[in-house]
Amino acid sequence: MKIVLYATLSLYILSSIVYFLGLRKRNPEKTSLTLAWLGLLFNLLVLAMRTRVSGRLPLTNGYDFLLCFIFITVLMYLLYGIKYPVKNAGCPVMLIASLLLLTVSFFMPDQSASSGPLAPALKSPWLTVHVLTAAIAYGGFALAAGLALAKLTTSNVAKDDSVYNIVAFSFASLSLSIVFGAIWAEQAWGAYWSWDPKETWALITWIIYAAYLHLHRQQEWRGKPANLMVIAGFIIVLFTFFGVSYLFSGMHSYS
Amino acid sequence: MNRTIRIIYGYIDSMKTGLFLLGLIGIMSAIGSVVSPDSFYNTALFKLLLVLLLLNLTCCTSRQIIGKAGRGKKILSLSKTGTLLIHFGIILVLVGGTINVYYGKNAEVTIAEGETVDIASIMPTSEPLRLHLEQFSIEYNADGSPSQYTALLNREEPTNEASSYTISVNHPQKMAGIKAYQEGFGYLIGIHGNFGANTLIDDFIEPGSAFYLPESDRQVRINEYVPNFDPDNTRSGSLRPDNPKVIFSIYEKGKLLGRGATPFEQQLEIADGKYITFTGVKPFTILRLKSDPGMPVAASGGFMLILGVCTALIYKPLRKIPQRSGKEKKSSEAALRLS
Repeated sequence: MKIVLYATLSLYILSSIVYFLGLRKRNPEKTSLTLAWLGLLFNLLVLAMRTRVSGRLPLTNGYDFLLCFIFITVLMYLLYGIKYPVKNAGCPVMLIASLLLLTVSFFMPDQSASSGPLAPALKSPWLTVHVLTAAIAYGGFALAAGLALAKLTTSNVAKDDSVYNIVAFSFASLSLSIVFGAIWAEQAWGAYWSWDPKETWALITWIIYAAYLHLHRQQEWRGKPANLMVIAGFIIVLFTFFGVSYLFSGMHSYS
Repeated sequence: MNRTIRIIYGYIDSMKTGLFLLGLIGIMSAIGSVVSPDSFYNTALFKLLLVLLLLNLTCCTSRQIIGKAGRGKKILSLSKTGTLLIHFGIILVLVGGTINVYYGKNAEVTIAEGETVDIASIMPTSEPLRLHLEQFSIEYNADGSPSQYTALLNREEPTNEASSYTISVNHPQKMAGIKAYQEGFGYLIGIHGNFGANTLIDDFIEPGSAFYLPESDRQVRINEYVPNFDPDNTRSGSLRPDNPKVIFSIYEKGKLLGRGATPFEQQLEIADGKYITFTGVKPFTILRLKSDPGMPVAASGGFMLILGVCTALIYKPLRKIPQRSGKEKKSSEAALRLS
């Protein structure tokens, strides 16, 4: 499985590099897209292997969640690009995917081996819907941040509504994730909201994107300020996942 | 006075105020998560912000509906319904949470196997409720890690509801107007002591307890029960009792004489002619009891949120930003400043 993981990482990094080179030379993106699709296939293979080893969907620890998150980010980018080609956005998006996968590969090796039985609190049908919607939301926010970064740094930019649409979809998924998590928390811990650090920072993430969606109705907030807000929101997403998991103790210690 | 009220209402009923409040709540939530997670969110200031947000959301959402009705517009267009449901859902969740904060009850109860507890004496219930813990059990996975914690309880008074309850993690039970959750567990350690004529101990005691030997300065402290004792690491991760032992310490005049780990039914001489034997363990369950009158409201809000999100996802059209002339841009900015 490690070989497949490293192959995925190599393909994502190569794709990102080729996209970057393409920026300067204005070359077609076929090579980088091909590498990204190949990387996605290998990513899917890693997820399938994790599923086979653990006997369940790969959603129960930080390592598995990140693999899903990265997969969904790249998948959303590639699928979105079929209908709405977003030139020059591949570089930041694949760079984000590469850096996240780098983190998984080299800074979370201990979790790669852990596929033991679930703790009692994790034995719930809400685990799948809560974690999946979170992974979809995070993937969407990563894609939106990549597009926003492309818009800030290049002149040949994506459509103005592309970032908004992706954020709106991901915000909906995050809202569902928070609600599903609250329902599960009530069953497992007796309280649907207990200001657990993970809950709190997920709420902060939600607030930032809610503010973005409302402010985007006003002309003066579109363009650069909106894109900066999307990027800031994704930084909070990363802190919610990495920072909270490693800096705070709480009931989400499983992730 | 009317003008003042109108001005204040104008601020409350403003999307900008709502965004400002959201931002403030976000910042304070971040601070609270670092500074003092246990108490920060119960402060009057934080609660005031949430109440103001509730007021703001209620006013803005009502204005959306009333405004549309006044202009004769269709309120129930599917594209807008989703957004309205989301806002209503948030309002209901906040209202439900507020009701719980002020009228909800929360308590923790510990019941050892074979014991009965009068729940009605701990928190208000809709009818008499005395629970007897018939059995507390742990199911184990193949690697010795716990798979499930289950408390089997019987109710002692006759009732039209169920007379026995099985409470496990993720499977709480409703009874007599409250809800009980499996929160934790522990073990009482059985000890039999023979200290000479007419001096006996035969009881289950809590880990951490200590007692003096009669007519002696020697004290025995029962530190803990370890289900799967590993000599190299007393803190065994496995809960399955593959090698159960009791860790104890002996003190004399406050000074530690020694520490040991002993299996059950092994007699220990702790002083001349004075023996103790650890006979076994009796598990106890820790239940979280809750009465949340705001739960139906919050649950409705959650349901509305889910429905609203799904409706918005399906029916809300993708956003298109039209190209505007300079004149149109200025008049739309003026209109936005008035809102």
